[in-house]
Amino acid sequence: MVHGSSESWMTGRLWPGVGVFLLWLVFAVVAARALFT
Amino acid sequence: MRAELGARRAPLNRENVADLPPRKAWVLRIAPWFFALPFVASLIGGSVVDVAGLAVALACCHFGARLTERGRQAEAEYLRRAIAKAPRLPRKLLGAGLTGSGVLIASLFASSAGPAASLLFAAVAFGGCVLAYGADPRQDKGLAPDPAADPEVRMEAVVAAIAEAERKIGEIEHWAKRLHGRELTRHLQRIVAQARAILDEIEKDPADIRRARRFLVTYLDGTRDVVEKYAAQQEDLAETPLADNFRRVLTTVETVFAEQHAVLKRNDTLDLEVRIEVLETQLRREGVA
Repeated sequence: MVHGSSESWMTGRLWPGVGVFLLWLVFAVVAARALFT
Repeated sequence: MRAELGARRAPLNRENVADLPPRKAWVLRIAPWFFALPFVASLIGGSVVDVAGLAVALACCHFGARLTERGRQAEAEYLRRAIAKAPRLPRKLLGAGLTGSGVLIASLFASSAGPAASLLFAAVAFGGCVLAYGADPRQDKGLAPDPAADPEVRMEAVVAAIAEAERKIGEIEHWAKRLHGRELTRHLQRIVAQARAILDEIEKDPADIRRARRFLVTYLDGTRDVVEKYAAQQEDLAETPLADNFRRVLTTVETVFAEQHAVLKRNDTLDLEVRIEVLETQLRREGVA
């Protein structure tokens, strides 16, 4: 009777880690470009 | 009196009701501070376009982070419940969109990157958010879509009844915290725990909702009103017979909640109507309802 759903593809640690890394990277790159150009 | 008490009631929301751990999106809160340095440099250099662009970008990133955090909170609540509707607003996705826009604006206005590179940065920021925080829950969960099996148990009704009951339990907790006696507070903590256990039983088997309807409607209301009234007047009521009555009523409430829980757990057909009638009579007789 009871069924549910979750984001199964997100349950691993790899992709969230990649996402966090990309976020740091893109913010750092854009800020550096804004500072030095 | 009723209106007076109502006016004094502090606003309550879902956060009070469910003690969810904070769901901070730390990267989205910290990383935009990288823009602070070019922002200050632009201020010093007097570049109005750069300053405005970075300010708007920072605002977008701030609200993006807030939305993402709300989305995570909504998701946590969705996951905690056995029966839940998917959040109507895809907050995490919108948060990712806002963050991407922030990066796009910062890149376009404050750096020499062209539109193509800026769009790429924005896409990376959006993708990073989605990867880091996941997508929003999209499907309702709980009752199987088989209304023919039990037409009286509609998912909307069960979800609404449980949300309403949660709100009432939250209010009982809210007023219980304002009681002076530690013994009374502990008593109410037990009652609240029992009420939550009853809700869990209903979630496990939503068909129980028909047997628990009186508990959900009359009973929680009665308990809340009694606690609220007592909390509002406890200075005057201490050391009076009404204080003893209040204690007795709490004991009865606890007993009946335990019985309700036991009945739902046993899944038998015994009705608690009679027991509830007894409690209602007692509430009236003791003069606290």
